[in-house]
Amino acid sequence: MSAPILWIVIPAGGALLLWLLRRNQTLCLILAAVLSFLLAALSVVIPIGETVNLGSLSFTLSSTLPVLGRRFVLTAGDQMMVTLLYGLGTVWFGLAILAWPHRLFPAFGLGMLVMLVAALAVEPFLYAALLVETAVLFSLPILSPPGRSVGQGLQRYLIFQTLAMLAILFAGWVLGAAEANPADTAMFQRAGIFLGLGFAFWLGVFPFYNWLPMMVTETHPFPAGFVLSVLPTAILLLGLDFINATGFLRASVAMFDIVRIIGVVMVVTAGLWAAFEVNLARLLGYAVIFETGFALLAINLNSLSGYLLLAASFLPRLLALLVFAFALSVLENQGLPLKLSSVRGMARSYPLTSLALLASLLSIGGYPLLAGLPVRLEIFEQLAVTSRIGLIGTGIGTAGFMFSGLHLLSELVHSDERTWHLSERWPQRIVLIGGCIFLVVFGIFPEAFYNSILFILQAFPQLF
Amino acid sequence: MAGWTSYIPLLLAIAASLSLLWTNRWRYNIAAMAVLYLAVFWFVSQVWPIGLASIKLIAGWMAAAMLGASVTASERPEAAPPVLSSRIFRLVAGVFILILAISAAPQAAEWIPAPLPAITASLLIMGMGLLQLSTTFDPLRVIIGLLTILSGFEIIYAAVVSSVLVTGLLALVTLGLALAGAYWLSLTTSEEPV
Repeated sequence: MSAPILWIVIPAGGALLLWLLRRNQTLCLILAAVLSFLLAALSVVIPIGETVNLGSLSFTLSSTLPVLGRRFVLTAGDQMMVTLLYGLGTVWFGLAILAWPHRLFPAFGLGMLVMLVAALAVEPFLYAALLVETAVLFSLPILSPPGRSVGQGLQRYLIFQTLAMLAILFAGWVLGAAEANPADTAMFQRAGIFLGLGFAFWLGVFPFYNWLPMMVTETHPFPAGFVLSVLPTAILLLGLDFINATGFLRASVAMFDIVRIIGVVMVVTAGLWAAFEVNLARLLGYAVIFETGFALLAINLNSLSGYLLLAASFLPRLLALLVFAFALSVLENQGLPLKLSSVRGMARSYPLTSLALLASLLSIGGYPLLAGLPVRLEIFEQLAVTSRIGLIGTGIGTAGFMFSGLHLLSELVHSDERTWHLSERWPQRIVLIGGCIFLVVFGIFPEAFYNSILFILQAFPQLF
Repeated sequence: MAGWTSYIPLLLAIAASLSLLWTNRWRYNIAAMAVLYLAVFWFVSQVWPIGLASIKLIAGWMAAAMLGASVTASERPEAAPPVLSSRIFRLVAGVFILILAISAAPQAAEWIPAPLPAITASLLIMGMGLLQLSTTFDPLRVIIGLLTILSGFEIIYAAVVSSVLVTGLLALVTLGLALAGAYWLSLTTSEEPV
């Protein structure tokens, strides 16, 4: 038995089984959540490469699975990434019962997670591009389920992700050729350009991000939130893997300068667009762009503290996106238009949903005492040392995003109604309150949560 | 120096990619895709064993067949032919890309170890695919555009990387894109219970 069989082959079989059982939606979602939980728990409990004794049973989980001359490798250092991805699956599949119990979600969602774990495990890493593309293809039935037409945003999503695959594949070859002949510096530059293009397409980096807000308005917010949580997280981890594996990238000052400029532009534009946005679903798209901008700013530091900040930002980002997408789903499922004008006075009829929308949006903006603030503050401090202009730009973007939160607040509480009532169902209330509590507790005691996620950097020893 | 036979698939690629731009009749488009994949197979078979190269042909033709069958099954009405000015614009843009590909290929050949006709065809097909993507919102044509770009890329990539796993995964992506197109074509606007 090897780790890739346990965390790639078996869940792939599980996804196939879920597809066969798709008519029973609730059962499928429960099975997907339980399977994801088991996989996440096993990756915490079972050490890879060490002998495990369970009573009379003794076994060793090897790290490698050879396939057609290539290898899938999951080492002890990768286990935190596996835990994170399947942990995300557990939460999203579990909450889908309340938010979006679609029959295609468990099978294709789990298939997507499997492909992303496989992408993180495959060696050489250039093959990851093909597996990420497969994950993207798995996401299409989730994003455009039967009954919804295909819009331009979804088309552009597929186009950019496919172009990313081609750029990364080609970059892999150019990189190999450059390493074979280190004197040829032009090849390193070409490799950097193709890698940069590939990641820009993948992450929806400026100026290739217009599909993000478009796509979110064309689909249900819950699957959009799932895809936009899982995919950028896995791609950022792949990015760290690329930087870890390629020495010339770590040594390239120009590349990290470009990353900083793009990060600042993304934060500024996302913040400013969000400030004037009247569609709540599009705000989810801008939130993803805003978060990606900050992730790039953390990477641009190219130091241990920068990579620690990136790892630390995963949990608040994922939590805020989950709460925001869930709250939007509550409104969408009631048939309410996701417009600012439509949520006017909603604080009195949907107080918990309103609170969750507000808390998650302000957390992403970096409002004090919420989960997003500690990482934002640290990035601001680092930017103050490295780039004052970058700091000013990031401040403007953050102010824009905060303004969108305050704009939402003013609309939510603007009502002539005197009475308050809870329109959310009980399970929804528990999730919404739980999400808000987590966002606050996270902001007040950040170390308690960060210490667990920072182990994810064990997979990238060259970054230290 | 590549033999003159290397230019036959280049001519096929030019004809097929220009016809994809010229008409939006799905039958002609599917036929052009089939010809395009034949050209890709021809180029790839110059650097790979025939058996491995034939995977490109089979996957490409299967993708084209899948799209054709889906269009038939969806009972999608035949689109009205584009107006003449639109066709002329596309043709001129296509010719511009052809000139660009022919001009850029010698520089690319200096650092990409592939025959010049293969590089020219690859750049041309990818350029035509990008042009298609930039001039349409129709899901079928978007998928055809993506398949066009992917097929162009496969010519150049086959010259530099020969891995069974990559070949298999690229074939999987080709079929996956076609399947996505078929799925998109099958979507109806009537709301289905979740």
